[in-house]
Amino acid sequence: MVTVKNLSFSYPSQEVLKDISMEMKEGCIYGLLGENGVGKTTLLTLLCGLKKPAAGSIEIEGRDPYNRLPSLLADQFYLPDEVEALNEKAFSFAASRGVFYPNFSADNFKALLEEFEVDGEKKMNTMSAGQLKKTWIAFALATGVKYYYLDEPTNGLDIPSKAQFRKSIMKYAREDATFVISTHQVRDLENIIDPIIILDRRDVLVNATVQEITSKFFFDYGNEIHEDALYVERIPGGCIQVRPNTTGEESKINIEAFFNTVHSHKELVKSLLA
Amino acid sequence: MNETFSAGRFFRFFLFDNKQIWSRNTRAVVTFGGLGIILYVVTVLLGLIFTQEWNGPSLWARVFTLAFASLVLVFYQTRTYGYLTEPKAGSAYLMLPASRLEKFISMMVITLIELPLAFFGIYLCVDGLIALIDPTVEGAIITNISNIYSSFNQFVSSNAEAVDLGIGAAGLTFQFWVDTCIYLLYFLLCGICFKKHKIASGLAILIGLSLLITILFGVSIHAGLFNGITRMLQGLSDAPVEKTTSLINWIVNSGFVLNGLTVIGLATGIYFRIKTLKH
Repeated sequence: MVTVKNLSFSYPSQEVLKDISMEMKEGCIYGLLGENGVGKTTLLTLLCGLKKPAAGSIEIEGRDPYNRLPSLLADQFYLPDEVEALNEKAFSFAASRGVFYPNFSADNFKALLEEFEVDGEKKMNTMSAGQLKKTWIAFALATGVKYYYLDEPTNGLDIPSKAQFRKSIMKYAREDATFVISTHQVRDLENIIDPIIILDRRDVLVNATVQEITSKFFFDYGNEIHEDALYVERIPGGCIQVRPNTTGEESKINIEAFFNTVHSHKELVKSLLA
Repeated sequence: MNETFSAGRFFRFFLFDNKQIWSRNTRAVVTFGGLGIILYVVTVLLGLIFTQEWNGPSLWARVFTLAFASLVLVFYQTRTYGYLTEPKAGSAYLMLPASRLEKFISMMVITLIELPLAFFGIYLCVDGLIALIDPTVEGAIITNISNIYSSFNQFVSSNAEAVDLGIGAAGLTFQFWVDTCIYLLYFLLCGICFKKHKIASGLAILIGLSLLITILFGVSIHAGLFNGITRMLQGLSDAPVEKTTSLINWIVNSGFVLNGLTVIGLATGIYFRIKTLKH
């Protein structure tokens, strides 16, 4: 369980997060969404202990991540948006770092590389950006840790690799693993992220499961435009509308449309999901 | 799980750290260590061109080149762990499951023992090989070490001929190593503190500190704070040799203690920098 209480963080020239509180349960894949500059990466780096909160606290199973205790470090993995291209082969890279993670599986790493179609005997500094990212993703999943903080993991991946990324998370991550995935590419992860966290400048607008969202909002894919629609977007062959769910009818979430709805009706969405 | 120190985890981290450091720095250490070859080739070529004689570099030329290469090695410490301030590599290092103490000890062993040993080892081996092959170079540095030390002692004791410092070759080597450690640690600290212009920033602080100490010293002399010490030193010429020896030994030992405290202070600074590094 990750507990964030009254968390604040500022850079010298800018206040980024102010008095944020939330909880993240184990076994969930949290999608961390927000506009550029709202503090998604900052929040991830705070969660994994790379930054110190200016105020408030973060607790991961009762431990402060900023203390960087080996037991917690061995149970978490932070994957930044841009990863390092090391002067070593992928297999050697995984062997030298894998020893630090009690649940690391070299077999899983090998299998993941094969599924991602990356040559493990290739030096990482000779790989393309996509291959390099896939190598790091494969290593992250092979560590078998409990907490994953992934910053834009699908950036730089080609279409088949994005699908493979989704499959790999479901196949290789342990059941109680908690993922916090920051992304702008919501369509890449639409089918796997649940719950959804939407950050606004200095505030958490949404921290709700897909079921909670669809119980309050109806995603209408029909052609007829309704007056009560909070958000309308024309798409080829029709349109997508987000409306308050007054009938309790089930619908399939469209995260991009929901994100835009949140941004145009912040207070309404917050009150409905409160 | 012991969160502060575990021998097994430290060993794993130490092996990992070694792999990282040597994959990044082997070329540089070998190049600095091999400067003796460059000096030898240049000296022989210049001799052949200008005097048509085959003459290798003198012992002192090789000692000064070693001193120069040591200086480069000291500055190079800003690079050894300088990657810690880069977001990509630095965050990967900080996120590795090892305690701060284990990371610190590994860093100290590599910086203060491994890298200097490798560098001096390569330099002295190359020098020894050259001396073995070419008799014009007046022998290897390592076989002339006692001559070098006695020259150094003569230089040190030129103003106090009757005084035996009693430090000896081992003591001088240890003192040289401690002095080197101070600069290695200082530039290592600069390397993990400054994101850019690591060497320039380190030198600027050293110059600033020197200026500050000079000014303070000047002001103190002007204010007459050292009059007592000056009178005492003036009286030394008439004092018995034992008294002079004990005073100079006291000054030398105080210097050792001060150097030791500087090493501890810098090492503590490095530990706290590792502890507070953020990305």
